[in-house]
Amino acid sequence: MQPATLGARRRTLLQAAGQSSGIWIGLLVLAALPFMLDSFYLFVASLTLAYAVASLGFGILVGSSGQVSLAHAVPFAIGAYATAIGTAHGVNVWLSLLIGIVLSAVISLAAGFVTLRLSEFYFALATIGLVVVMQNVLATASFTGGTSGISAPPITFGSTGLGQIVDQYFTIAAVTLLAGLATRNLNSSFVGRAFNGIRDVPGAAATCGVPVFRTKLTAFIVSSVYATVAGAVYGGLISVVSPDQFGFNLILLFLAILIVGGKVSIAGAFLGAAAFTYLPQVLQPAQGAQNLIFGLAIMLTMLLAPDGLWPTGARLVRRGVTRIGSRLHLASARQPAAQLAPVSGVVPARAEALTVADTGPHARAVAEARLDLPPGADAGDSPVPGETGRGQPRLEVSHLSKAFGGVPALSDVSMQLRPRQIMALIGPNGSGKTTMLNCITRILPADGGTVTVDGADISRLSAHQVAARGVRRTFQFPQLVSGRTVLENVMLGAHLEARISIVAALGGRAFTGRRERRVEDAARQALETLGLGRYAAMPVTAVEGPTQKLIEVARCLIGQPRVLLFDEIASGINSVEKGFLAERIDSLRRDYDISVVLVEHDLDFVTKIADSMLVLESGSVIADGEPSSVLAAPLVREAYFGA
Amino acid sequence: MPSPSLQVTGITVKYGDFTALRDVTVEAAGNSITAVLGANGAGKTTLLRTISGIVRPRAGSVTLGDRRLDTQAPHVVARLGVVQLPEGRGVFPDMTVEENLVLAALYHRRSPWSTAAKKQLEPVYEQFPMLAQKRAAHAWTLSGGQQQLLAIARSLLLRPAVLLADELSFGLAPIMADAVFDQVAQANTEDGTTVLMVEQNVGRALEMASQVYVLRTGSVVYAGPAQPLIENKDKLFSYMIA
Repeated sequence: MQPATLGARRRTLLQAAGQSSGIWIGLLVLAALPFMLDSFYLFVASLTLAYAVASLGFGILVGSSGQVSLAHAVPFAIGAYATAIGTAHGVNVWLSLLIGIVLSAVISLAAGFVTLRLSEFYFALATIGLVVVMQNVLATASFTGGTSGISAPPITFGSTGLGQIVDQYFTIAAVTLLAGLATRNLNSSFVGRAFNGIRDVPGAAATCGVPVFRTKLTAFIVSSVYATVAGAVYGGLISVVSPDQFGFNLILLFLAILIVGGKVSIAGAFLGAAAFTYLPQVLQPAQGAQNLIFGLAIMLTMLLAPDGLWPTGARLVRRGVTRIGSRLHLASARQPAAQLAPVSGVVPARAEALTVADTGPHARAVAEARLDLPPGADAGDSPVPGETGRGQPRLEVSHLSKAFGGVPALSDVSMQLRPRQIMALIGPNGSGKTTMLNCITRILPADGGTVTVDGADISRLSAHQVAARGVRRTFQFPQLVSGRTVLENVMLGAHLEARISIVAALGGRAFTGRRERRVEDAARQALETLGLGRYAAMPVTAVEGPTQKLIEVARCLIGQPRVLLFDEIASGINSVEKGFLAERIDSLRRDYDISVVLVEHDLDFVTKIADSMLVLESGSVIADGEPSSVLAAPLVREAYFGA
Repeated sequence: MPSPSLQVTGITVKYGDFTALRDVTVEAAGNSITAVLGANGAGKTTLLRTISGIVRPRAGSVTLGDRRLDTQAPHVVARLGVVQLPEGRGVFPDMTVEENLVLAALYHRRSPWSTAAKKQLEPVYEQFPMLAQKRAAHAWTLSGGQQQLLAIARSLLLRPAVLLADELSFGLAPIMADAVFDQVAQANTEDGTTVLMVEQNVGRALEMASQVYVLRTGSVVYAGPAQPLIENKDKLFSYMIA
């Protein structure tokens, strides 16, 4: 046991060293290059870094946020032209760059405001239009030098006395370093997780409080800022900028870098940029075959390493390191023993939770998991804590209607949910249960009717605003962000509480660390509360479906919910686990003044904890009331059991 | 039509560093119903995914009769008659319910538009009146549970040699779940389909299965007939805690 854990630790150290050593080696190479290369290859290296910076921005938009834009050449051109035109008019080069950045951001905001409303394919098409417009403006405007172009100033922080290309190289290297760090910070921040959320599961992200449209717009603007800076240093490198440099060849280059390097990989952006800047130089003699070789390279990458060369290569290297590691520690190669310990360690804790009726300790665990509550939001709104509240309903649905393609899914549905009440929503398949949750959370617009939370009308709000009112839900088919761990997925639920701005996110943990850690603790405790602590570090895609549903429950819990809408969370778990879950839900609503709607098919499970029951059949309410009397109704028995 | 037996021998499956299955041996005899029980995360779904070729084992083998399955691609395994159920909500949203169902004929390389293919649907409609009622409706207008049912009904139409049934009752109202279980039992008795079922509806699983395996954190902790577990519920529940 002892040597096994030791072996495992050495292995992880080896891996960690492998990961950070990459960065150090990269830095060393960057610093050494000017002393190793002649001025031509230093120029190639500088060009590589400029493309890499642009690609990092492109990766944020296309890879992380899933918005395929073909207009990345536009901000790139703005950067190059802004510094060229600015300095031609006697404006300081850095001020010109700043003006360029602002201009890019404004243009992206305006263009994105219109085009980001379009669905993927049409968005990509619309962005092509932007490139055409830009090229026309550059070729015909009086201040751009027309088709023959305009000379662009070199961008340097200062002179080293080693020659202008060395000065430029060091400046670009510094810019690249900043861009790389900012991208890494962004990826590990709330904003980065929200980007992934709108890419994979936009509906679920909205119900976590992520404003989908605004987040797309943010990604669009951030990516254009990267491109503007990259364009400016690029212009300085090639001295003269003209419209034909910023056409479709450039867009294809950006796409190729992204595909070959990897869509969400920082190192991949460098690898891709290096390949596509260096290769043309090598392939000079093969002139005609150059594009052919490029095309083949892209096709082969898509076939053999669809995630991109860097992620695939890194995976192979990691596997190799692990293998070498286990050979070095042959005596401790029996890894399963080491693995079993933490997993089985959970069992006693859970078994205890099952038998101990007192919910005290768990309640405390949740209390700590809970983020700072806004004043007055804690239990105590209602005069009798621990009991179902009276007076104003927490959630009220009145005359809700919805039809799909002319077929009514909900007709004139009304219901009330009091504070701390648990309502079971049951009905045959296709009776409208999920549609009702979709209409309440505004994932779908209702055709008619109103929904109020604590008396306030939410039926005209957008989904993320409904989330901000404390309405949280799970999905019938789990909606989680792939490529993230279980813990990171849960953390997405606290998007509103985190309030992390894009600037802070780019700045990194120094600005966001405290809030990130606080939410991380809360997420960990929410997982513990549901008995899922051991899954925290696992990639969410490796977790079984039923557990994924419970991860969604944890994601709801850290969002300071007032109303929880659970869509079949007990499907696929066994009766013992159901008992545990029922107990958790029951104590949560009492301790935190939460009202719960449970959509379920397992009546044993819901009757254990539900205070009331609403039965839907073909979109209409056929029974509403106390569970035992509802279940005794002949109409219900016929609809549900066919008896 | 006798079905070959499905033999899983000593398989170990890992996701990265996480060991999902450890030296698991499971046999589903030809023409029988075998149930796999266990807590959430015990590795039941991983077992089925390994058999259907989606996940590769680090050690051990999977054979169907005398054919090795664990070296085959998923589509080859499916062609050999091993069908996993349900395949999520794998329905074609813009096709009608009936069009979705007749597609099953393609599996046997027959025309989906033949009268024979249509005729096959009659018993399905009889068993699931909901599908009959919605036969002309586009699949996207169906609820999640109804789509699930449609996918199950279509897979049963394939008349597979081996059926890997993963949580058939998932998301289905009791009346629908019963109809699905009946259909599976019927496939077993009439077509001789070998069934390996993962089920949380323990009562129903024990009732249907002749052989039962219980998994716990990736290992088999019980292998034997259903009867002892029916008689000793406490023992069963002690297995079911993660």
